[in-house]
Formats: sequence, structure tokens, C-alpha cells
Amino acid sequence: MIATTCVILAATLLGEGTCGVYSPDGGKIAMQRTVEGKSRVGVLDRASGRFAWVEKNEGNSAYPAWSSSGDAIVYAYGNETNTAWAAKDGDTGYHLRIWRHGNGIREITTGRFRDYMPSFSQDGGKVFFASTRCASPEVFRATRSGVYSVNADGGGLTCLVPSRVNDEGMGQPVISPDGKMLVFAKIDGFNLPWRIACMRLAEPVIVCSVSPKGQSAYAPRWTPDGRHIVYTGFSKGDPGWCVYVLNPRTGGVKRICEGRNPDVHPSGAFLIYDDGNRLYERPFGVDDLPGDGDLVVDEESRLYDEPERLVWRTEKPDYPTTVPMTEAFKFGTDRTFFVRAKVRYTHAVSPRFRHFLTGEYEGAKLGFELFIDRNRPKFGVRDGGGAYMGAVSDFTLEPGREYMLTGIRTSEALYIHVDGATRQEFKFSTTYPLDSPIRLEIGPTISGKGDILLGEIGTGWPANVPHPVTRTKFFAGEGAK
Amino acid sequence: MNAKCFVVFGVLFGALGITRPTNAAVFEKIAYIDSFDYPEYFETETAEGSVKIVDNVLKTGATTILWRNQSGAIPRYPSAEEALPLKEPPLDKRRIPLSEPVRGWIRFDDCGTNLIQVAADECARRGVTFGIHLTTEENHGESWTLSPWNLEHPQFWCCARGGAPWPGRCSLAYNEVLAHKLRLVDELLAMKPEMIYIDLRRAGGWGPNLEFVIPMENEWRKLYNCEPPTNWRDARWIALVEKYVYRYVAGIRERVKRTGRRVELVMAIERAGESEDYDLVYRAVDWRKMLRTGVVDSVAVACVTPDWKDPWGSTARIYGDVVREVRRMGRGKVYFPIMSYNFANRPGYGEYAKQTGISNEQAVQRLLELARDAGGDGITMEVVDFNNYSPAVCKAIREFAP
Repeated sequence: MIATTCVILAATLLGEGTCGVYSPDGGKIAMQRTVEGKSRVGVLDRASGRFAWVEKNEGNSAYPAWSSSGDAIVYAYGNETNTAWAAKDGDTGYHLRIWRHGNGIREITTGRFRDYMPSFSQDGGKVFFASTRCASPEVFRATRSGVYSVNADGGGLTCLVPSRVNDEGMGQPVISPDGKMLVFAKIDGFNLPWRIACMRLAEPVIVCSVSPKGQSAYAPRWTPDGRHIVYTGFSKGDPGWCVYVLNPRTGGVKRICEGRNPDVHPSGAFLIYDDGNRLYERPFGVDDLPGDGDLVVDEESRLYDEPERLVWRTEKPDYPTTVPMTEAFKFGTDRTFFVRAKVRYTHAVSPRFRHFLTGEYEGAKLGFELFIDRNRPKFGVRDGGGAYMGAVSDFTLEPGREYMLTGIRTSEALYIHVDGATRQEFKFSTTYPLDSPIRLEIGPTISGKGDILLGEIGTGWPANVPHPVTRTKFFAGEGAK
Repeated sequence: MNAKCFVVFGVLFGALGITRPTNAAVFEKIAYIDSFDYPEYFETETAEGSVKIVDNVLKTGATTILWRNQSGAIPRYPSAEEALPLKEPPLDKRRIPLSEPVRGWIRFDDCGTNLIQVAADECARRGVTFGIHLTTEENHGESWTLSPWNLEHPQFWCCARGGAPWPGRCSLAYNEVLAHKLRLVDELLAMKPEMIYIDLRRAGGWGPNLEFVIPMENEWRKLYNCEPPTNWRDARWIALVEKYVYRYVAGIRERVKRTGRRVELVMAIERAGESEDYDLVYRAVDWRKMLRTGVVDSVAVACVTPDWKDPWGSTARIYGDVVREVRRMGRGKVYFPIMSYNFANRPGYGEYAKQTGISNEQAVQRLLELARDAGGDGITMEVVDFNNYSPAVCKAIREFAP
């Protein structure tokens, strides 16, 4: 539940700037300003109002973040002077730079990549950042970014949260004050809203969504006590981008004011944000914090805790064939259901595209579909407008081997699992109502026998795959079941 | 390349004889430049790159070239309306960069040259009609190009029923959005196109199901004294959304009138010959109303779904039905598709060839004849890329003289 009461407090204009961030002692603010159309990083002294550039070179510098000792700032820098064609074999890109007091500037990443939105670890030894590095060269038009870390001296490049599929993106990783948890923004598809997610450094494969369903949310930062996250959000009815405060443990959220890119002063008493290329500061206190938001926790239990109940099952079916679907296949928009198939296929026909199980509903010939596309398992349904949307596995199947594929749809997400392992979670905005079941098609495009060994469809969360981590379990330290 | 070299370049192509065919007025051959693949083959962020694209397209015998106004939602020209500084993905936290070499780094809007204007001038020099392929989408799959204006104005984003905002597009129900879209049209009209092909098919996933925005919901309550429908397919809901789509297209007509120039406005028909009015239900486009009221001059059928038991006969019937319907209105030209790519539910000429066991060029020849015999005014070639229309297909189109 989003508390929408806004307490209007006087904000002080600090001047031009965006993406401001307080220094650890609270005396300075690093930020971006625009110079002749380019973004450039500098530092404002709060007491004197004096401003000094950190990066003076031509090009764009952006996303400053302080080290906890306050003697270094990391940021992204890029200077594209050639056309894309002329620069195609070069090393230019967006790279991370560290300015260190008394030591000048050092570039710590290289390559034709975009490394951006960095932040320091608590001890200053590592830098967390988003990067396009996980783009696999064989993937046509790879559009994705993952979360990485690199040592502050430029060594030890590590992928923490890989982007597994196209159109999945992550950004703005920021470590919690206790140094254990990263918060970052995540998106699953090119026209879907951003959301805020958390991940423990000790268990990076488990990612938990924490921002409200139905809200677009990005640019998270921890409050100094690590109990809340401030971020930029938009919900229907908001006047524009707004600064929100979130309790990630309960899901409680409160809107603070119009603006974006917030950061809380180390004392916890002030908040900076930008609005229209201007940087503002306002008081911040207990009145700005949200309530508990218990309803969010209840909602998650409802989605994931209902046990599986089969509505249809077949072993070694003859196919291609169709069977009528009864009312038991009426899943609407919010009933959790799954489609499971044990498959083994060969290259008897083109491996590009094969359906295993397809449910036809009134108004949606492909109401749900479990299939492979270029050897990648996919589970698709229709969005609210009737267009395809789906979860895709990063894992490709080997012909001749048996696999258990499971596709799941809840009221807010799609999942594809291969042999019990989650390959993608895809959060969506709307889904087509599966209200009028017509027929189930089994292997309509497959030639040859022996490909579908088992088919099952049911409601609830299937027993053979791990539950998505809910915030209750995540913050209790349980991780996935 | 400097201006002098550019002129030499252009003259060279002219000397090669790649110019507008002489029978253009009789049967239009309209090509769309989507530029899906040109950057993979040569430099496209320069004036000479634009000329090279024109030259490539004219191999098809095109009499009109339509230049796509934007890549995803980023203009392919220096746009004051979309001039916010956060266009480049690394500078905007809400964008994911396209990583692909070359194409992932292209900045058509910020390369120091108005590349569309270059193409327009080159078309004029060669006697080819220049037009704009106007897409209204604000996003495009795998290119992450939500427009800067869109990202600055979430308060105008579309919404699903239940309130989830959908950032893929701003709603035309807001006057501010309409004004923004029409300012973009003004920028394009300044390049003096003779045709604007209004493509509301490329919607980036948008549909009337995503128009549950506050002004639309309020208007519904006022009209029907009840809450907006749970089923977005409610004909009254679609009619309400259609009203605002129509208002946008009427606004384009008004902007054209202000220029005092003759600009043919063509409305795409996404699918013809289906039992359900796909364009109305899924895109809130009532092309008949637009044609009848003079808001557009012509229609271009983008796709038909033939009966594969009788592909040529069924296609001829669909073409004939559209032409008869348009002629009954007493106005308007009709164009039919010649499409090289096959999309789901949108068969290109390759599918016709495959289904009937003939060559691509023979299938194209049949489709050209069907368009002519139905009384069509020409054809449209969707997505003319670097080499997707083979030399034999280009020859068939180029030499077709009704």
C-alpha cells in the first residue's frame, strides 16, 4: 500500500545539478551538471557554496559516488568522437574513473562496453556497477546490462548478477551500510516498468523485488541506517516522477515530494533530490517514513504458497493432437498456474521453433504456450492487449537429452524453469484473461515420436521448482526454499 | 566527407542512371526506409551514407521513398522537441544500451547533419517523391529507445486497467501529448515531404487496453455514468480511444494545411480481409472514417491474410473489396503490399512463393498484377533493407509497367 499523503516542507534550491550524492561527512555533494550539452561531474561545498569540477575533459561524465572515507569519487566517463562505424573496432566506450584526493584521475575499466552507474563497497576496495559486458556476441542485438564489480585498482572484474536474456536490464547497484546487501534497479522487458530489487553479496543468485507492484521505480539509495531505501518512483495519479521512501522488509512505501535521484544526508536529517535539472535539499525525518505495509507480505504468500493441483496429465501422448479444455483451465488473470512437460527432441525437423503444449482460449489462440525457439525453452502467454509476452531460458537444450520444462504464470510474473532451476522471472504489467478455455494442442508442430514424454498442467505453485524468494523469507535470511 | 565530395558522390550515382522511372504517375512504387540493416554494411551517420541508402533503394524502381522519422522513439534528425540531454543510454538511468557493434552506438540525431534532409534533397535531385514514414511509437523492442519526452513525463503514460502505468507510450488523451506529437510533425513538415505515411501499426505493444488513463476514465464516467469497462474490447471503450487517435490524425491534417503545400497523407491498414476489424480493435484506427472525412488522402494495406487453399484468388478478393469500399467513398488512393520479410500472421511474398511453388520474383509479379487488376494505385515495399529484395525481385518491380 502506498501512503500518498505528502507533507510539504520547504526545499532549498542548491543550484543546477542532477544525481547529487552526499559525501560521507555530509559536507559536500557530488553531482552532475550540464556543460554545452555534455554531462560533467563536480562537487559542491555545502557550507561555502563553492563548486569545483572533478572531471574537466571533454565528453560525458556521470553518476558520481563517494568512497566511505570521502577521499575518492567513482563515476562513468565516455567521449564518443567518431561515428559508430568509424569507432567499431576501437576501445572507446563508457568506462569507470576514480578521482582520488591528491592522486588525480585513473580509469579502471576498458573495452567497447558501457560501464556505468558505479558505487564503492564499504571498505572502498571494490566498485559495483552496471555494464553491457554480459552481452554475448552471438546474440543478435543484445540489449541488456548486468551488475558487476571490479577492484578499485582495476583488477578482479566479476559478474555478480548476469543479465541472461535480451531486454533484461539492471542498474544503479548500491551497497547497504552493513556491506552485505546490494540494492539495484531491474527491468524485464523493453516497455515494462523498472522495479527495485535486493541481493545479498553472499548469495547473489537470489534476487528479491521490493518495490510496489504497478509502480515504475529506479535510482535506489539506502538511508544511512540501512532500514529504508529512497528512490525515484511513479504511480498512476502522481504529478510526475516522485521521491519515495520504501521499507524493503515490509513493502511499506511513502511518497515524499516531486523529484528524482534522492539521497539522504549521513545524519539522516536532510534529503537531496533533483527536479528539472536543479538540485534541492529538504529536511528529512520520521514523518517521511512509511508504515509497515503488511498487506504486501500477504499478497506474496497468496501468489506463491498455494500448493500444486493437477488439472490435466498425460504420459507419452500421441501427437500432434488436441484435447478439449474444461472449466478447470479457467485461469483468468490472477490464478497461478503451470504448464510442465518432460521432453526429448531430435533434429528431425528444424530446431528453430517447436511447440510442446499450447492452450487456446477465446480471443487468444496462443493463450499459453510452452515451446522452444532456437533451442531455448520459452513459456509465453498474451499481454492485456493480446500480444505475445514470455519468459525465455538462457539455457539451450541439447538434442537427444531429456529435460523437464516448467512454465508458470502468476498474476504478476512469468517463469521458465529447466530441470527445476529458474532460468528467468519476467514481471509484467497486464495479462490476457484466460477465461474461456477451448482446446489444448499437444506438439502441433513436431514431427516424429518420443519428444513429449510427460505433460502436466495445474494450478498453484508447482512442487518441482523453487519458490521465488519473498521479502519475508529474503529479509529473514532464508533465501529460496 | 565535405560538401564538395558529397556533390561529386551524388552526381556519380545520378550518372549511373539510378533515378526515378518514367511511369511513376501511373502506378506508385513506394519504399520504406527502416534502416534495419544498413549500418552493418556501410557508414550511415554521414550525408554520403544517406545518399548511399537512397541509391540502394532505387534499385527497386521506387517512385517514392519514405524515410522513417525515428529509430524506436529517437528522431533520426536533430530534433528540438526531443532535445533533452538524456538520450544516450549511459546518461539516463532508465535506459539499457543496445550493445551491438555499430548499431548500438549510432546517434542519427546528434551527428551534425540532418540525414533525412539530405535524403530529401537527394530524392528531389533525382525526381523521386520524398516522404516520411511517420511512426508514433515511443518504444521499440530491442532498441530501448523510449523517447526523452516520454521519460520526462510519466504523468502522461498509458495505464492498464487497475492502474499499472505502462511507459511504452504517452496517452493521446492528454492535450499536452497531442501538442508534443504535433510539434514533432511540424519538424518533419519543415523538411518538405510530399507524402506522410502514418503508421499506427508500429505501436510498441500499445492498444486500447492500455488507455485506462485518468482523463479517459473520467470521460467514460461522464458519458456512461459507470466505471470504465472490465473488458477493454467493449465497443464503447474502443470508440472512446479511437476518438483521440482520430484527433491526432486530424491534427496532422491541420498542420499540413498550415504549410500551404500539397502533402499526401496515407493511413496504413494493418490487416485487411479479416472478420474482425483488427485496426479498430487493436489500434483504435478507423481508417474508413479518416478517409471519408478527408483527414487522410489514401490508404495502404500493409498485410492480408490469404486463404492458402487459394492464395491468389483470396488475395484478389480482399484487394477488390478494399478498392470497392474506397471507391464508394468517392475519394482516396489505395496501395497494396509487396513485402520481403515474413512476420507472424503477415505473409510476405516469400510465403506466397513457398505456398504456391514458384520463385520469389514470380510471386512478386503476381502480386503486382493483383494490385493493378484490383484497381490499386500502386504498391508499398515495406522494410527495404540493404539486400533483402533480391536483384531478381528488384528487377520484377522496377520493370513492372501496368
